[in-house]
Amino acid sequence: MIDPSALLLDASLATLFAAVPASWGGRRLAYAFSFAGSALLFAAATAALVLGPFTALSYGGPFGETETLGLDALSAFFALSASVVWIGASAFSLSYDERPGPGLAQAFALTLGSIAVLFAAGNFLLFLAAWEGMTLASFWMILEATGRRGPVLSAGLVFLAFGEGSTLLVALAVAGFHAATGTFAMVSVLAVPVSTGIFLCALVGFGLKMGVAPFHMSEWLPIAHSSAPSNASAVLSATLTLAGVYGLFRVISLLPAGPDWWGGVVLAIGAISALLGALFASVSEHVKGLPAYSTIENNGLILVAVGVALVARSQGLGTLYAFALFAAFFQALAHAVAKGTLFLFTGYVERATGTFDLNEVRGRARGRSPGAALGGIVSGLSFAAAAPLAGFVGEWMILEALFQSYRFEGPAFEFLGLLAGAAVALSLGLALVAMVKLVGFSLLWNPQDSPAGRRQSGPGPPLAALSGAILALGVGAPWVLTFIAPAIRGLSHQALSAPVGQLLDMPARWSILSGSPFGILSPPAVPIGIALGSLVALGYFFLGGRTASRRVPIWVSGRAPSPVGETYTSFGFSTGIRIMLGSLLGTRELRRRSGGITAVAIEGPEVYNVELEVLDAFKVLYDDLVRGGLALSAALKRFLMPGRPGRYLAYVLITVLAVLIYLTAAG
Amino acid sequence: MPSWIGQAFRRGILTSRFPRAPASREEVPETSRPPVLPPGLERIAVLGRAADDCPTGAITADGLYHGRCIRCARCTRQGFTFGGRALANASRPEDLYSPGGGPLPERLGPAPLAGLGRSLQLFLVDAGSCLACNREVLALANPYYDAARLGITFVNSPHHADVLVVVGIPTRPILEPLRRAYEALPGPKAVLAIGACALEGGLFRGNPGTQAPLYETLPVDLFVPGCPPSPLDILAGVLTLAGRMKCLPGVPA
Ligand code: SF4
Ligand code: SF4
Repeated sequence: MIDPSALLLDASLATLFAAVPASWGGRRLAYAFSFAGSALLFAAATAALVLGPFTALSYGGPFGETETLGLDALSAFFALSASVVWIGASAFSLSYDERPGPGLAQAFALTLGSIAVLFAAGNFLLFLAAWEGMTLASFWMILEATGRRGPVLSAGLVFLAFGEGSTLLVALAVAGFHAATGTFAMVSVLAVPVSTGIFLCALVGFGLKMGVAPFHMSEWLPIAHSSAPSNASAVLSATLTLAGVYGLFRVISLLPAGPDWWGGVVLAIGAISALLGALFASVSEHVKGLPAYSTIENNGLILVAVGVALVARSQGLGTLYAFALFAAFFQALAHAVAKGTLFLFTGYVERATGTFDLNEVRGRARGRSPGAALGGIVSGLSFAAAAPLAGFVGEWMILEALFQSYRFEGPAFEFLGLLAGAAVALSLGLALVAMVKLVGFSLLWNPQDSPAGRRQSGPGPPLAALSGAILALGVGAPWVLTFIAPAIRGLSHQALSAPVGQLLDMPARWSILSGSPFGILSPPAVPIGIALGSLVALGYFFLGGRTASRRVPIWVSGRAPSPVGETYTSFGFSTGIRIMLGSLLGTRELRRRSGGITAVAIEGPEVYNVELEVLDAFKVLYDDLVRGGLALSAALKRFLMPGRPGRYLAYVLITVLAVLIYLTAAG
Repeated sequence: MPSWIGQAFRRGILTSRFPRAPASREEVPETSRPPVLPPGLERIAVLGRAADDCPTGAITADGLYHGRCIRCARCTRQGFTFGGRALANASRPEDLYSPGGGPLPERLGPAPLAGLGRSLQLFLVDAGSCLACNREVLALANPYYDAARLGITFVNSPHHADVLVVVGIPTRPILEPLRRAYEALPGPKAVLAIGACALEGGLFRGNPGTQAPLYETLPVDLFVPGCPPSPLDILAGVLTLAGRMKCLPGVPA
């Protein structure tokens, strides 16, 4: 008898790939296929989580290995998270993609398909192939931005370079597995020395895809510099990074509990990424660059949770290990759904206003599509950790896990936990600034003089549905945790239940417990509390409570507000951060007569515009590396290939001699 | 260990105890206290001669307008001495007039911000001062006076302030921004005028290009006389506005 879950997965993969040929029948048809395929994947993943793991397909592959396609609890969780994003992104693309050719639709479908295969792969060879396919397909997707030359191409090439570097390291990790186990099947490695090598390769390889520091260029550059299409950005930023998280968890699940410094390294990388990402997000003026930086932050947060989990595992802290894993998974899920939504929202902003500069958007995305606006606000609030949305629960769990880092053994780890906690808290605060800026300057603030944007009806329903999902994930967090518990059980090699329980007289499963004697959060109680509070406020208002408001002109250092209208720019909004954290951001002041972002006009003998330029130290480092590498290769070229035939003959001779010597020595 | 840590322990707490303890003579030195005419002198004659000498018209033939005095000490040649009761403030310029040149009566200004509790934000506007008043006002933020211990801080926008602190004689170009700043203050709000210039123009009264007195432009709630007043005088003024001065702890004359 055929397993119905297996059938679902087969159908899903077939439909996802069928979207490519379908694109010749029209782009919308292709997106409809992607939509259907994603929905089927959602069903298959749900089945795997509820009914247990299954194998959909197995066949003889190269090297005499059996290749399998199937889902176990771990991959089902990630497939589920990704499919939610894809369903929304495909539905959104139906109205978004107005390009002449089918290229974007094809690249989109291929990316979705290869990520799905990646999740379903039961064997490392297939995993690697899907990983590479995913990189190439998404490279194509980036090239589908407006024109394939100039900044788009170079941004795409940066993405490709980081992507291939990642494939290389992942391949090394896979080779390590093969060396240790003698097979490409996903079986556990028991020896510690080789697993350290595997772990480091995997960490860097998957970290490259997650866009964590110091590889975060791979995340923001292609999205921001090329202004990649928004549906592509959503898939890149929400699910490509999710694939990285999946890969990391897959590898961790197969490795023994390593030394505790593994976790320390992950924790440090995560904390730095979170802080850097949030910092740069808060000063970004690019409608897409800002969420791309926020992705760096969120992946950093996920790594922080993973780091806490790894340290806890090495030091035998069972409860904390499980809780941190739950935190990482929940944050991964919350981030994927909310980030997909936020990028689709930026697509709507881009269409409504025709610009990527937040200073130019000036609230013009307002009132053009209520559903899309809802999506932007809800996903932005979720990243700002507003209760009771998904992001709030995820970030609460991560902070709770960090609070318990005092349980770590050794002052170094306790101190690391403390520092990471401070970095995470700071990054959460900065994320709030970033989100207020993005959502506020695109939707909420509308100066009188800004022209109306384009009305759109297409993006409303998918975005509204996704915001419903974000809310549901947050409010129903205890149920979600229980639902995804099988995925975490697979990682802990022991029976464990979701950290949900009973609080006071509330029913069981109404609250999340972070381990005794520690924090308790009841996500379902939060909206009830908010509703009651609002009722009190409304009651006060309607029962004749006094409210006083007075409108005053904007304060511009006592000057008369300009007759053309003073505007509060998005640049001005975060200039405080640019100045206060100037040492971290490398802020430089540029004085210009015109051009750039007109930030501050200082009146004096002369009027000039000040632009505060921020600098990503890592980008400078990479630029220097590239320059150095190019210079080195040019020098080598001059030295090794001077264009004299005599030299080349000598090379041939040396090679022949070397081969002869090797053969005689070996023979 | 950095030397300043050890130093901090050796020296102990230096911050002023005002307003829990009365201001000391060092905190409000003689020269920053108002001039008084000691009893026992030939009042009419002294006042007459001093009135000719006084550069600001603070001394008239029959009394002393404390709000106008710039502490130039010229009147000491005629028998006035410094060291009157300090820390006086008033809600009307007339209240700073002492007939006969004696010490000012003990009087507490109004407290329009009494409902604000322990938090008070000040927005300082220099309307045209010689900068001495600015320095005395901003001295409240230093570790000695440390107004923040009393919940008093300086803010950078009138939108965040409770008190508009004005120093200096209003020059014509500042009048409009002053009005805008007052307008931008959320209520309940108060205006505190610091120094002789902000009271009636001080030494610069009648100067072309200026428009004294300030109270014709803004509804001033409290005047703190002096040229410049000492930081504790100013602190007492701010606390008076908030209803946190029960009585004027003037330095004994
Ligand atoms: S000290 Fe005051 S009262 Fe005496 S002369 Fe000078 S301004 Fe006039
Ligand atoms: S009152 Fe005196 S100290 Fe204050 S600004 Fe005027 S001249 Fe300067």
